Amino acid sequence: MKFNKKNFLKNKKGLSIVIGYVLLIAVSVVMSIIVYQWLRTYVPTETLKCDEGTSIFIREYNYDCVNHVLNITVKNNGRFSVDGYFIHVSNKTDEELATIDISGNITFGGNVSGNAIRFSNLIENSLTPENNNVKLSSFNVQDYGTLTKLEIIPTRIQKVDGKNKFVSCGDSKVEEILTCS
Amino acid sequence: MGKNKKEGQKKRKVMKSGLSPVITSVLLIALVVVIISVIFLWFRGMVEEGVVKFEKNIKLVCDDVEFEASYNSGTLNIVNNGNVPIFKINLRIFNQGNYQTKNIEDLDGGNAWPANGLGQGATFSGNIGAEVGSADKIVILPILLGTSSKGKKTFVCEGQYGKEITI
Repeated sequence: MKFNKKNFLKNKKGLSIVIGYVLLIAVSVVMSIIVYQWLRTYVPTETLKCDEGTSIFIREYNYDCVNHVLNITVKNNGRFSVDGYFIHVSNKTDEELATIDISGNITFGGNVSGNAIRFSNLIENSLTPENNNVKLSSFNVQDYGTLTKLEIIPTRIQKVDGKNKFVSCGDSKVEEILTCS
Repeated sequence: MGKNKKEGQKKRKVMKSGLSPVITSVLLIALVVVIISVIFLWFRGMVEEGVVKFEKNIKLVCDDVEFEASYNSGTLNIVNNGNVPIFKINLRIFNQGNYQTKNIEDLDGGNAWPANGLGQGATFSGNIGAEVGSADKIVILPILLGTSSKGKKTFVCEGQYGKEITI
C-alpha cells in the first residue's frame, strides 16, 4: 500500500487527538517541574557538620606575659585528621566567651586563612591522629594585655557532594585557662 | 417578489452556523489564560516568597545555625561556632513583661558588627548596655541572608532558634 500524504493530512480527527495528548502530557510535565522545583527546597538535606569523633586537645601551652608570646602545642586525640583551628582569647577574668581573634598574630607554626589557622596550605587535614603528630604554633599577643582564657575550635576540609568544603567543628571546642609561665 | 423572499430565508438558514470553531477555540483559550493569570496573581500575594540558602529553604537553614553568646557588664559577646554565616542579629529585649526588638546595627555598640556578617569562627563584641539597661533578659535571633526570585533577601530565624540570656 502506497502512503498517500494528501489523505493522511485530510484525516483531521486523528491529528487532533494526538495534539490533545501531546498538550496534556506537556502541561503535566511543566506543572510537575514547577511543583518539584518549589517543593525541593523544603526537603531537609545533609547539614554541613564535622564528622563525629573529631577532637583535638591543647597538649601544652606556654604564655610569656613579659614578652607577650603565646606558644601552644595541639594534638589530635580524635578519629579524624584536622586541618587547623580558630583561635580566640579573652583578657577579662569574668568573661564567659573568648572573642579576641589572634589568628592574624601567628608568628610560626601555621598559615592564616580567613580567620582560621591552617597547619599546611599544601596538605589538607595534616594533623593526623597518630601518636607522635603534634603541632606547635606561636602568637604575638602584645596588643591584648594579660590574657586569661584560650579557646580553640578545630576545622576540617571535608568532601561534600564531590566538593571540598571548609568545616568548623564547633562541638569539639577546647578551652584553657591561661596563667603566666 | 415571493421568490426573492424565499431565497433570502434560505440564505439566512445557511448563515445560522454561528462563530467558526477556530474563533471559539481562540476565545476559550484566551479566557482560560486570563482566568489563570488572575487566580495566579491573587494567590501569589497570599503565598510567602521562598527564600533559599545552600539550595534549601532558609527556614531549614535556621536549624543549622550554631553560635554562642554571653552578656556581661553591658558587653554582648557572640562567637559563630557553626558553618552558617550570621548576617545580622535581632535583639529581643525583655523588660517587666514587655519586649522590644532591635537590630544590632541600630544600637550604639553594634557599630563593630562586620558588614558581611559573622562567618565561620568569627566573633563579635560590643557594648549595648545603654539600650539593654535594666532589662530582665535578652533573646538573640540570628538573621540570615538568602536569595529569592527578587535577589538577596534577609530572613529572621524564629524564636526557637534564638539564644536566651538572663541578665
